[in-house]
Amino acid sequence: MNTDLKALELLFQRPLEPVFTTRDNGKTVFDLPESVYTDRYRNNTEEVSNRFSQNVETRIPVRELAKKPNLEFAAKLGHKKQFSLFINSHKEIASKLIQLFLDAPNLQQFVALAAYTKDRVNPVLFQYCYAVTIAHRPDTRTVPIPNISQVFPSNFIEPSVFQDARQEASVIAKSGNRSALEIPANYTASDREDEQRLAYFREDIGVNSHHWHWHLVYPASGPMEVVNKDRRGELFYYMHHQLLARYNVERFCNNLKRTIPLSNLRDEIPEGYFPKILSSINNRTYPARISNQLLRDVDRPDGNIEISELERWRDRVLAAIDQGFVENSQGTRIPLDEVKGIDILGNIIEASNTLSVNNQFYGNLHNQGHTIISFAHDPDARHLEDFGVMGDVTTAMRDPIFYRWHGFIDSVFNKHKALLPVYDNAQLGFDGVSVTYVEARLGAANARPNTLLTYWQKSSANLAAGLDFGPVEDENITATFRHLQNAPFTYTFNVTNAGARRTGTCRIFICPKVDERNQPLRLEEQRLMAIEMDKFTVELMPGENTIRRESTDSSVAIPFERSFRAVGANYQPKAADELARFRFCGCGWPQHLLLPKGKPEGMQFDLFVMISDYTNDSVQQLSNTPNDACSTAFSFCGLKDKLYPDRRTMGFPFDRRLPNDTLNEFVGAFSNMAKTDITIKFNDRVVG
Amino acid sequence: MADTKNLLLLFEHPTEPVFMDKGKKVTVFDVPDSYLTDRYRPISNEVQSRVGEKVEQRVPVREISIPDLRIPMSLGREEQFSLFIPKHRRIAARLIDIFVNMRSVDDLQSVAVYARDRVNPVMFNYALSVALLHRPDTQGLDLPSFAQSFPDRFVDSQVFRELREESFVVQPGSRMPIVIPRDYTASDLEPEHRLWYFREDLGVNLHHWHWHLVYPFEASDRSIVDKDRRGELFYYMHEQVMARYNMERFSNNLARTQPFNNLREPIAEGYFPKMDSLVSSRAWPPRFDNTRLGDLNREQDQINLEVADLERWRDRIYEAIHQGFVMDERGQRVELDEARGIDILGNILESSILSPNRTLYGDLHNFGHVFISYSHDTNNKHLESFGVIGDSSTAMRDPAFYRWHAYIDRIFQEHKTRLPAYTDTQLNYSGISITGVQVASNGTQPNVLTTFWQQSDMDLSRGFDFTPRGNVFARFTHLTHLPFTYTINVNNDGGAQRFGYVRIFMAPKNDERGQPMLLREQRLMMVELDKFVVSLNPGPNTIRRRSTESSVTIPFERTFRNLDANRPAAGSAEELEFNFCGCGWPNHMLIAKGLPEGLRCDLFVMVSNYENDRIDQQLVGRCSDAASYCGVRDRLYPDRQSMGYPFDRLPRTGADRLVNFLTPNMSIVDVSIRHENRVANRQA
Repeated sequence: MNTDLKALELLFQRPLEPVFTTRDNGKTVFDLPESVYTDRYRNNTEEVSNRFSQNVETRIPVRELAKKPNLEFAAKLGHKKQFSLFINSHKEIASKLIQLFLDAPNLQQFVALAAYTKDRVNPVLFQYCYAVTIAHRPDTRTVPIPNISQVFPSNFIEPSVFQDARQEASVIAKSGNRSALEIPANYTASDREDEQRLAYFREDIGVNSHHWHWHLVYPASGPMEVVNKDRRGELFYYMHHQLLARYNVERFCNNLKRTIPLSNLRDEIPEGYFPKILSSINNRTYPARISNQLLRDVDRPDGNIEISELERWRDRVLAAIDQGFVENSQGTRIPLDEVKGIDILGNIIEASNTLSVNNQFYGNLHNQGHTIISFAHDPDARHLEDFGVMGDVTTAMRDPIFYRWHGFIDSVFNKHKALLPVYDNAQLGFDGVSVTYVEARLGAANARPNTLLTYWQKSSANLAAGLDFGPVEDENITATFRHLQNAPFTYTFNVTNAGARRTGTCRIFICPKVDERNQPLRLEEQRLMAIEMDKFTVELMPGENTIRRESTDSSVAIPFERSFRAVGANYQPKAADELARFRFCGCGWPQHLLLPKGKPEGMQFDLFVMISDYTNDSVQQLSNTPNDACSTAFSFCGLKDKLYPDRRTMGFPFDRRLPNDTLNEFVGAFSNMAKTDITIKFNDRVVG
Repeated sequence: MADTKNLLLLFEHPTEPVFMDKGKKVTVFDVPDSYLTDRYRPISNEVQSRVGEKVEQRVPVREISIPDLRIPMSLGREEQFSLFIPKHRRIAARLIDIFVNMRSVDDLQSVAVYARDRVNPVMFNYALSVALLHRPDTQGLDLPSFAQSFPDRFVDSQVFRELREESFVVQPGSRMPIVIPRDYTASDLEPEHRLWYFREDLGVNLHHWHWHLVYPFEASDRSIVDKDRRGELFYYMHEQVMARYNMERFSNNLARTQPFNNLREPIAEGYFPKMDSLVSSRAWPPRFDNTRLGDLNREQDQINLEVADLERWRDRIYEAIHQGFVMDERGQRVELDEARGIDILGNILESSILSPNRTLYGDLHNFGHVFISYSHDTNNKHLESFGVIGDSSTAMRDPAFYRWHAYIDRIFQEHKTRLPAYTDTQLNYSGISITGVQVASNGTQPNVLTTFWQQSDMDLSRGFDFTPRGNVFARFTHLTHLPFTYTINVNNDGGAQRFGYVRIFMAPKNDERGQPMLLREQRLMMVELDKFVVSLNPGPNTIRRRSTESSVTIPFERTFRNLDANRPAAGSAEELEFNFCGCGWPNHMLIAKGLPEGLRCDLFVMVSNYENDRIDQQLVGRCSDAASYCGVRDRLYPDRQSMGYPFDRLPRTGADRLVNFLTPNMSIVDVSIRHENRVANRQA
């Protein structure tokens, strides 16, 4: 294997340890030029390099850098400071570093540059920029990007596990005798806190790593070629809209009502949150937010923001929506139309400074909301506290307030969507195609149709790569944890095609049937809670067609192993195409949360299927390269280096108002749609 | 017979299994298989031989039948242990009992080895310390500093990451001390943060922990609690902490602490400790600005109390003070008189099991700590433990500690101000007069004291578990001062040799507005600096006394101690001197910081008649060198006068100002404390 590529892979491991320590379970070290050592170790380079090369199998040479980069721009973000993608000054630093990495002329120089930079900048900043670069440089396409939960496991896992891991490793020599450590579930609050019922969702490792990887794929700032992706603003809207729909449905499953959008920033926030996780960067616990905290203006060295600024931006964005156009910085009106409107709005609200049509005027609503909330405990830095979990994309989704804030952001987008014309028959229908039968059924032989199953499962994650300054020779320091799981199932649809052979796009959603008061949901409410389950193209032969589709093939989810993938070589597929599958796969909803939890007594949903006319859906890709093998979760993450593979607006057909009052009337009116009632039963036991 | 010193090794690496190697001379306990926890018993050969390679000393552990440890084990290993929580106290008391009642040191060692991996590590440290301090056969043991067993309670958690890196990457010989940042808990925007060096001082917090080790307020063996004048000492030690704290506030242009006398009002001072507990793997929870107390309902602590309960206890105590008596459990009146009143009140307020009526007067001081420490999560909704003020080794870090104790002190003063003032005759020592007082450091201007910053190193490796062995040093920055000497000229007009008790105090001259203080206020800021006996020959006498000899402090080395270096030979007289009581104000904090331009103070010296003060008892080898705040182990408090005498009561009529208060056996001198903002280095 090319040693440069191997080197790039290893630089993801042990993010806090100096670059000269061993990696790959103690098997590999870098042969470093003197200049790479930081001042701290410059005087005894020989001692440390000898010390760490005693029992290694491989030494990877790293070239001398042609020109030492000037890293002063990154010095503002100290080594032990928390790095946030929501803070402007941090984003600017990241953007410069990514540019620096992208500019490295060749692979060897990139390796040398990365090795040189690693110990000289903030470790999370490094990992972020490094991963973004690996994902975007043509010559690093085959380097696997490990799941973030394995690089910084402490951001995902209850902290006593690490103490236990050190204990196991230092007391018991043989890996065989080690017992798997158990990561406690439900440790952040007790059941006196109603919000705690959702902890399995908010604190899920797969959910939080998806969020990080999504932001890796869609950085909000950086070089234009990295930021400016097809329909990124729209995807920002849609991915978060789906998170909200899923979260609200999950709340119904737990007898809670929908989350209340945080539309009044002057109100006390009743939801307190005590994360308890410990950042490995500074060995500090993420600050908590007590119940009934008021937001306050933030005035800190790395930025200040007033609540009234957010309110002004909000009002301007809403005014633009109500007027139907935004104004760019030259004062030119850009209509918020059916096709591009949502994308423009997405970039305005997420405030990609690169892509917003008028950053100055519409501001930085989404990010600064995160910032203000994340500093509520110490808005003027008088207590020298860093931000809470809301300030960090790897941890933000743990906090109940994340959903209240995104509930508000989503309500802004929905306001725009509601002003667009109702979808008409031409847009919705597909003449001559009728869906005559719909079912979803578990794999078991005697399974009843349309009854799906969820339960708890135990899985293990390997902590070794992120256990800095811990035992080196250990490939296995595993921890087991409990998460929700669903039994795999198969959709079967019968479709009659009255015309010639043609292509359709099959769109599958599930929707809750009743609201928190057990009242039937109107279609207008239901459409906002429709959960996308899958989307794929189908070839329709004339006459009867039977379409089968496995739940594990879903276009929103990535397989279980990708959320909890082990990085050790043993786990790596050898064949080239298999290796490719491993790349860039962190983005995607975790398969184990594909279904909402349901209820022990069963909870009813509508399973909705629509086959739309592919001639209206298809996208002419600019290049003919085969799809990236890892881009299986394109509904949420798009396709790597390609256009979003569906010409319809995201969420179609539920993203706009529909001509009918209820879902039944809706499917009744269009033959290319069908629905059936399904039941999701939750079995409260732990498997595995 | 087991070497008692081996018991001390059990304090090291508190969260590692007991069979792991310990000590500078690599030592392991040969733990009987049946003593291993279930986790390690099946693989005992492997684990015990793994550590066995470099062993220099093996300590046999006798297998005895183990007393019932169910109660001590009922507190989880990863829970936070607090002396202020009654349930925890009861559990700890049971473990102390077990340790104290073992028949021999051998048996104690066996039980301690057995218990160590099964009970809460902090409670283990506490109970074993109390037992070693109180068992006759383990006296004279040099207990390791609590800060070395649990450095996580004294040090920014961020430092641990660096320590881990240092011990992982660098060999023991070339390791560099990790510098603990000076201001890490808050910034200058927070005025309270100016006091960080006092509140977060290692020695100050250790003193508080050790004081509570020496004076437990609950134990099933009453004699452990029932020490001479413990209630009064509770009052006095904390009164002195307040006097010192307020003087530090004047040194930082802040007003005196506002007593927290309205439990319904928000606590303006927030505090973010930025420390992590190694035991629970949780951060010490912060308290946000403007947090209010709430009624507590925390099942697993067995606490269900309202703020109104505290208010009722307080009102009843005030009522007792104003009536001049308390009511015991049988309904009998117990007078709060001049001699015993303050001691009874101390036991009531703290409260200890010596309280004459805990049902009626409750547990005010302790529960004040508990209520404040749980204000962020009153009903355990968020599964958060108590904040720093809920633990005696960390409580003094929190500004709220001082607000609470300012209030506790106000209640004590309510009693003190009702006692008759000391008369001329009581105060005077006829025939003895002070003719001159001066303080000076080597080569500096007389009557000017100098403070500055110093850096000292401390080895934290003993409390740094599951990491490569070898010293890892942390470098603390702390206040200190130039040592100085008092020179006191005393005239004895009589014809015979007489004895005097020299009492030295200091207080600021002016209040926060720069106005001269009335004695009734100034007396509350009188900081005791020293108290010692002198013999006075007929005619003029010159007394010289060094600041390092102070009766309130323990020497620098005992705070930043290195157990192995500088240890006197076993059995020597010096070793007895070295014997650690741990309790004592750190000498580097003897003098308040002062101001760059000088903080103007009155230094007060009194020579009282030792015949009226003396307690006849043998003091040699009883670690009596910080007796003023800590008493003397197993002995009576070595001064018959009320603690704080002569400033513990209101001054007599006519003595509005300190200068009018003076009788011939007293004298004052103007002293200025100057702070130089420089850092000196010192290796411990």
